[in-house]
Amino acid sequence: MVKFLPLIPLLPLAGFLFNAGLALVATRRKKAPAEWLPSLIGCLAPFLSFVLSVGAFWVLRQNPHEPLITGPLFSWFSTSLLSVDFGFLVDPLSSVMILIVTGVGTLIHIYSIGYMKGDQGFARYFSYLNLFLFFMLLLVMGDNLLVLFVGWEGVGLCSYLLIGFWFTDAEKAAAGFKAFVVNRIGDFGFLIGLFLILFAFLSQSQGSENSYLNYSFMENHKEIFAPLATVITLCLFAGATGKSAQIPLYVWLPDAMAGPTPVSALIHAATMVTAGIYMVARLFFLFEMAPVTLSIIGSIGLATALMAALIGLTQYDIKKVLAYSTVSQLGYMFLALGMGAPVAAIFHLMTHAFFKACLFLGAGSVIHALHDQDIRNMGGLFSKMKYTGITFLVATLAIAGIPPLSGFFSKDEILLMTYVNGSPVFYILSVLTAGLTAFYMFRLFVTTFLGKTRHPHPDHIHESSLVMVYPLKILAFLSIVGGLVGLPHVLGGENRIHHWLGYLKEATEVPHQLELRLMVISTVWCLFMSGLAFYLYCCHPGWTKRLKQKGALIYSFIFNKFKIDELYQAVIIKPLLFISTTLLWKGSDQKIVDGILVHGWTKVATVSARLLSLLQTGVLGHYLLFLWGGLIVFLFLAVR
Amino acid sequence: MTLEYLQTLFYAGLPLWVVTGGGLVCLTLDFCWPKKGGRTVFIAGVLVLATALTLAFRQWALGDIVAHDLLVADRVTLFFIFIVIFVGLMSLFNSYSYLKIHENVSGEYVTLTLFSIVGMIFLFASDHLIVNFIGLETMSLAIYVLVGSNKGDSRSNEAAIKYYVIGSVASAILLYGIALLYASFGTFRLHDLSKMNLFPGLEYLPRIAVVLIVSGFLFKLAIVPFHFWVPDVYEGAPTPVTGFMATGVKAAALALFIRLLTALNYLPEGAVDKILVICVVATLLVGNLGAIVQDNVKRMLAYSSIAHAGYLLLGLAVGYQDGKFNPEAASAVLFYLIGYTFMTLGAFAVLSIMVEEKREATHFSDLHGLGYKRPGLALAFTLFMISLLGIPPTVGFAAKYVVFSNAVKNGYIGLVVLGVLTSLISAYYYLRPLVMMYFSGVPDKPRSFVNAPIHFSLMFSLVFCALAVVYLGLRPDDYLKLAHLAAQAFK
Repeated sequence: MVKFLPLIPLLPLAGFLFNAGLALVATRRKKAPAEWLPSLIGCLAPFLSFVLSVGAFWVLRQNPHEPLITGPLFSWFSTSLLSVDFGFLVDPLSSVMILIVTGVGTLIHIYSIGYMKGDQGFARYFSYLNLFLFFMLLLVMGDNLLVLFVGWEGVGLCSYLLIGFWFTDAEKAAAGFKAFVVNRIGDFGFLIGLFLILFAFLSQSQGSENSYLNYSFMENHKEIFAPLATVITLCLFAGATGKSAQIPLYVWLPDAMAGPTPVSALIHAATMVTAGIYMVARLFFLFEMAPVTLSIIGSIGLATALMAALIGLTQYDIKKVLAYSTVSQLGYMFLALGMGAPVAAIFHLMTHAFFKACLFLGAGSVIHALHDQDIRNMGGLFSKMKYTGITFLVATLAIAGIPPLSGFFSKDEILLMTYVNGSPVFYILSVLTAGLTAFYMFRLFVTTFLGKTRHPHPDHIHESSLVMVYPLKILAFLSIVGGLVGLPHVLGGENRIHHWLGYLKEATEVPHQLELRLMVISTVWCLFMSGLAFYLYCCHPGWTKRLKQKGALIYSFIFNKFKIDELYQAVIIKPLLFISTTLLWKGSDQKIVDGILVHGWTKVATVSARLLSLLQTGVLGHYLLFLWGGLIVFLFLAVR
Repeated sequence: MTLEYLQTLFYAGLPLWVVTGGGLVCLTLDFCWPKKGGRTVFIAGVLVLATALTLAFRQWALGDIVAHDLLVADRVTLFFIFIVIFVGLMSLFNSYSYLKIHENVSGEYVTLTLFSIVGMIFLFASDHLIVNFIGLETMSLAIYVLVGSNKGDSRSNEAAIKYYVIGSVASAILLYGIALLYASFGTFRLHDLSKMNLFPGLEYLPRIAVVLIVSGFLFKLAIVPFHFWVPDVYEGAPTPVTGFMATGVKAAALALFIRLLTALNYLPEGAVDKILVICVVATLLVGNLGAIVQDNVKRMLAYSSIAHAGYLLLGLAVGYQDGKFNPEAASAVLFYLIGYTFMTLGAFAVLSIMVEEKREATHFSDLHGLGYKRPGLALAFTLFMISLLGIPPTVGFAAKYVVFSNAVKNGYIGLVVLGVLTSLISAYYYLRPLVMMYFSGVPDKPRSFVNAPIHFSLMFSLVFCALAVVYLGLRPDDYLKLAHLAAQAFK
């Protein structure tokens, strides 16, 4: 099996190369290629990767304690200070990740065939999507931090390319730009973290081996990090806040909804944005050594979850609601990490990938049918788009945390760990957020699918094609049963995922009595909030309007996303622009560097050149004179 | 003179005899086919040079080194034979279509090229100063005629006259130096001369002789202050001939120049390196500054060749340790020469295309829009320009790097700073053609050569030089070793 591991990322790469070639040829010929070829190659590559991933998972299950390691495939670079080999590693953690990435990825590729039908850049779209899978698989399969970083940057690039896929629209291109720049800010922290890790090793290096960035090497020598652990982990976490959209760098994700909806499902919900969680879980042995960092991660996660949920309550764009919901759920995962429960975080990552992908694809199906994203123009779609409606409802129930769907188990696990390891305030706030989640999701569902049709042309609305519906069905099914892998002992389950990932962190023993009590509390609370939303938006839409008018000030503050974008604009971007434009560009660059250094020396050179060319008279006699002159000087020098 | 002696002489000088005989054959061919002769003679000339090149490679591979007083066939000689024959070959390729446009395709052109190559080889392939001098004159006479071969063009004629007059003065100086040397020691052989001791009280005689000889070679190398003829002659001569002079003549003169520096060390300690350093500083400044103000690409390249002669000389000047020349330094110079040959020949190949109604159209403005109309040609020209400028991954960078790093190693930091600064200045004039080709828009009426097809022979030399420039820039190791091997023979 180990022999085939490199194929898992390489297949999508091959797909990328093929489709990119097709797209190039199409651009040159100014004619869109037939769609069956890019879709066939584009879907086959991830599907084969998925099959291989299942194979790897199956092999790993025989003996979970021996991860599949390809060893160094080739030496990337090797210096006396540091050597980095390129290798892949599939242990229980990365096996979960590759199954999600290739599995959900394949479904979304298939869905895209229907969604992108007739688009000018069909082949280009599939090439980007395949390239994304390649980088994402590098990220989760690399056996050292530098390979992870390559994937990390690569997925950022693909995200940029896909957000700005319809780049002729300036607003969408700007959204891609924003995502890239904000991510770079986080990556800066990540890089500093990397360098600090190197610094920690180099400052007390002993022994001949110097593949410092290898995970197993790091874990075996983790005592070296003790003095620097807090700083290193904080820097790495800064990278994670960028990629996984946490406060203060979450601002790019809502704007990233400018891309095609399947992209939002794959990159901005199921996989790429979870890279930060994967990274923290992968390096959890390091984060464990820094309790300060863990508490900061927990607080930021909770704050993000709460804030995004509040904003989600007020949005009207169907994709924006889902985007804020993603930010909020990612906040939950970081809360779990902060509470010292990486297994719960990965478990929620998995279930979230299922139901959020399903929600986004459902939203895509609606958008595809209506060509509109504003939920105020929807309503009453349930009867017209039956499968989309049912799958959307299933996923909504899952994310709202209604038992026995998958979201309930994973979220409950996080709440439980918060109660056990965190302060009461944390627990209350996280339960409150869970309720808010249920509330805004049901608000979304009810306004979109129930009630009267508010769309101007209701007759045109129809169910999407089969290639789009089938992935929805599969994802809805996974949203229902996905939680069973983590069925807790108290409910008679085996909690397989805990055994599977137990090596990340030993589970805390919790009294069953307490576990049951908390479960009941959160279930009742989520059911109550769901019901409330159902009741308010379905039966008494007037009430919410009145509520809005009463709290107009607070409402508009939340509706405008807490004015965070405006705050950044005023506090960071404007001063930066001022310094760059007025001081650096117009002041020092144009006046000093250009004016004096560049043009000044040019003048000196030109003037001396003109003087020299005066000697070049073109008269033979003058030339001979100069020749004799030179000869006499040299004779004088030599004989003297 | 035994038969055996003649036999070794025959095998040692095989490439040389082939070129000599080939030149005579070409002359006869031209005489027999006066009408359609041009093309046949061209093919014959190319075949002769190709054969000679193959024989020279064989000799290098066999590695038997024959050194007689009249003919030295060591690795230095072979190295320079490679270069000059290659230059001749490429110049023939460059000139065919040029001469065709000027309706000037003739057998004499080929014959003269071949004979000038014979002269070049004799110039450095002998230990005997008189043989060297005869070689120099054979080369020069042939090239005087080649420079003036554009009979209808007054600039070409003017260039020939100027070159001839100044060239004969330089030859006179050189010959006078050789005579004085003979007067002092009674021998013409460098091997003996290198072992002579100065007579007390008569030191000035050989010293004057050395300065005269060195000056004569600095003239051929186009080093300031003996460079004044270069811009005028290079501009006036037919473009392929200019390319031939800028590479072939320089290479041949450089070969003997290094031999002389190694052999003749009569000057007081520090005098030769002082002279060389003065020359380097002046040459780098004049060459690079002079090129800035030109508006003709050909004249700009003339100044650029002065500047590059300065970099070559810089590589030699840093070889002086404790007043004696250390031939180790020559290996960097030889590598620089390889790179310089490729990029200069390539640049002149592009220039050979630029002809408008039988007149050379080599102003910067004539390049307008070439980047859009002929992307391949413009790309090649760009490559040669950035190589001349010394930007990686081209050979120009590798060559400058080797020379400069050698200079740093030997402690000539000041010269290196000057070299880098003048390279910086050179960016201005090397990048100007790029601006013209790519960033000045497409003219309504481009020059006619822009749309004319390129002859196969010219295409060959263009592609070959372009590939060589990139290949040597990326993988200079093998050729550095080659240069090093050749430089060993100077000892």
